[in-house]
Amino acid sequence: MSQSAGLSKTGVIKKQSHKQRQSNVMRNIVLLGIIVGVILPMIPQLLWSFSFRWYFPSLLPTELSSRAWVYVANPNSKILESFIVSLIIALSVTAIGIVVGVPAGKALGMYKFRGKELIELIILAPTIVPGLAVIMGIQILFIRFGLSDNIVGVIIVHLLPSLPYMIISMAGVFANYDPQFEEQARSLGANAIKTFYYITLPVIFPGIVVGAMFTFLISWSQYILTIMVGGGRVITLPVLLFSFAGSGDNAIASALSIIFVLPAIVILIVTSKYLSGKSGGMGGFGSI
Amino acid sequence: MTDVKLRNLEKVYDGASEPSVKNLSLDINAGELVALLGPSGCGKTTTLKMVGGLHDVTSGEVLFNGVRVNDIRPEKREAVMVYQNYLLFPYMTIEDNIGFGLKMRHVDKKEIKKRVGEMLSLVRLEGFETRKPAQLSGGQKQRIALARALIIRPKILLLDEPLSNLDAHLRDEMREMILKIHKSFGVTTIFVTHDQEEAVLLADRIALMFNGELHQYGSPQEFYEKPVSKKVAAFFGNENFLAGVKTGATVKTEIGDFDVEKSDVPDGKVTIVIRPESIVLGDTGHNSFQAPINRRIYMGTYTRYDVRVGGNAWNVIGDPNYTEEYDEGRNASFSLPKEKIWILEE
Repeated sequence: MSQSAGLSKTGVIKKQSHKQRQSNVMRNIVLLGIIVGVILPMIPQLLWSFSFRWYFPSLLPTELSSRAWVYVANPNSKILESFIVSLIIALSVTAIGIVVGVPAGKALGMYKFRGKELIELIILAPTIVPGLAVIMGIQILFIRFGLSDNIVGVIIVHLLPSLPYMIISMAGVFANYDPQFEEQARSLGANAIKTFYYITLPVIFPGIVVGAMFTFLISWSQYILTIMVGGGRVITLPVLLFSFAGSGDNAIASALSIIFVLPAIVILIVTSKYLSGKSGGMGGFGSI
Repeated sequence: MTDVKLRNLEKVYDGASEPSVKNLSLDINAGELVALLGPSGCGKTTTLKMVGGLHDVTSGEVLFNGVRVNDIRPEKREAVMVYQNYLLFPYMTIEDNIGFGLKMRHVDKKEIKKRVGEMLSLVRLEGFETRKPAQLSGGQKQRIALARALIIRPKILLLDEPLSNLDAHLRDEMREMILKIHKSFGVTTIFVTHDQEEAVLLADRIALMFNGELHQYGSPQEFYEKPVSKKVAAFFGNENFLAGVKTGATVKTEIGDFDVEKSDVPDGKVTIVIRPESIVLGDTGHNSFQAPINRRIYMGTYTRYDVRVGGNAWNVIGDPNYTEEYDEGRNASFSLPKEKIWILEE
């Protein structure tokens, strides 16, 4: 008995270190992917943002200048303001997304009810139908309800393309979730609040992180919906970015795009461990 | 020490047309080990969860030491459930799993650590503190789940199919452990099983349920010797039935008359039941009859005969060393000892 226990002990330790290595490798691959796919393309942008003159065939800018960054930092340029507006919108959309998406995902992942397939289809529809195709109708509706040209309307319309990802992510988590864990905790003496904190939350947290990340990034990079519903009054970072990209001022457009992509990179790095597949945050609709 | 009484317990799930548990009354003594036995879907797990407060009671009462606990929340009942699939919290170490109940009771960290160590040695898994549930085998998980329940010294221990997920040799080990723990803790224990053998091996008393209703409640021996119905007898592996008409101490059947002992069963249509191992091979001159042997199966420690008795297929268990007279296809003599015959009202 003691011998076999000893054997299994070393066996388990070996297995653990092997698993640990595997997960480290996975994490490094994810980070490498982020660097190659996201950070490397940023280098020319960074150079552009500091360039004053950069003509073919020079490999590097012939004259450098901090003009673009000075402009970005200048309150009159409204760039920092738009950054904050974008942040408020994206965070609000994410918060609402979590509040709506967690229970919706629970219903889709755990319960059987009539018309479930239809509801899944409707939830998935915004990921298939481009926003441009429906925005005209939405705009008329929003004008009627006083939701156009203001930030509330923009937040609501951003939920349209982002909610599906939150719900799908949570449905995947809940499809593999055993509600008896909660019963077990209650039986052992945890009240409803403690049960949620100690049992439910750790299980669904990776799903919330992944869903929230999608929601934030989709809202953050929204252009058409913001322009149409915001009516030029709600100025977000993408709105400014598009106008500078069209104006031909490469330096400012580059500086802006660097600011624009920063939150995405931060979020990707912070959440990379939840994206590596093992955590169950990427379950889709699961087994339903 | 806590006794449990169930009074006219009933459970109807939302949207269900039929109750899952019907009018169930059961008395469980303090410190007793009772099995809720029945096929799957008979309401036994529902009953267990109602005792634990994990499912609401539709009507009727659950009493602990005579006090109604229907409205006491599960975390206050001190009746701990151990689930069939162990449900160890996957994100926690074994130490945190076992200590969970004490942590919820705000026990001092040092004290928790000490008592976790004690529980681990009780279930013979010393040194497992820092492991995660995923690193454990099924049998180990089961023991950890048991330790996690026992550490809070519950009044009542509720076990859902405690042996059914284990291999044969682990089942024996686990059974011994449950019996040992039950003895040393003296905790009133109710367990659910679909396996009559498991119930017989573990339980002081068995409550047999079909379709949400209690059919028989008694010692394991009673289920073998005095089943209350053909259904109960069949569930315990005995289908040696023979229809007849009882008059006084005699039952007239299609293969002859049988003397029986006095019983409370009124005269009229009855069914004779007898255990396969109680039938005597040979003509003892009393309650004897001739019947054809359809099959003879050598089982090592005994020989089983499939015998046609009237219109019924009977099992007879005899000595492993058979004689020619009891070959397949032969018409052989059998006798039914009077005191072994059990009579059921038809």
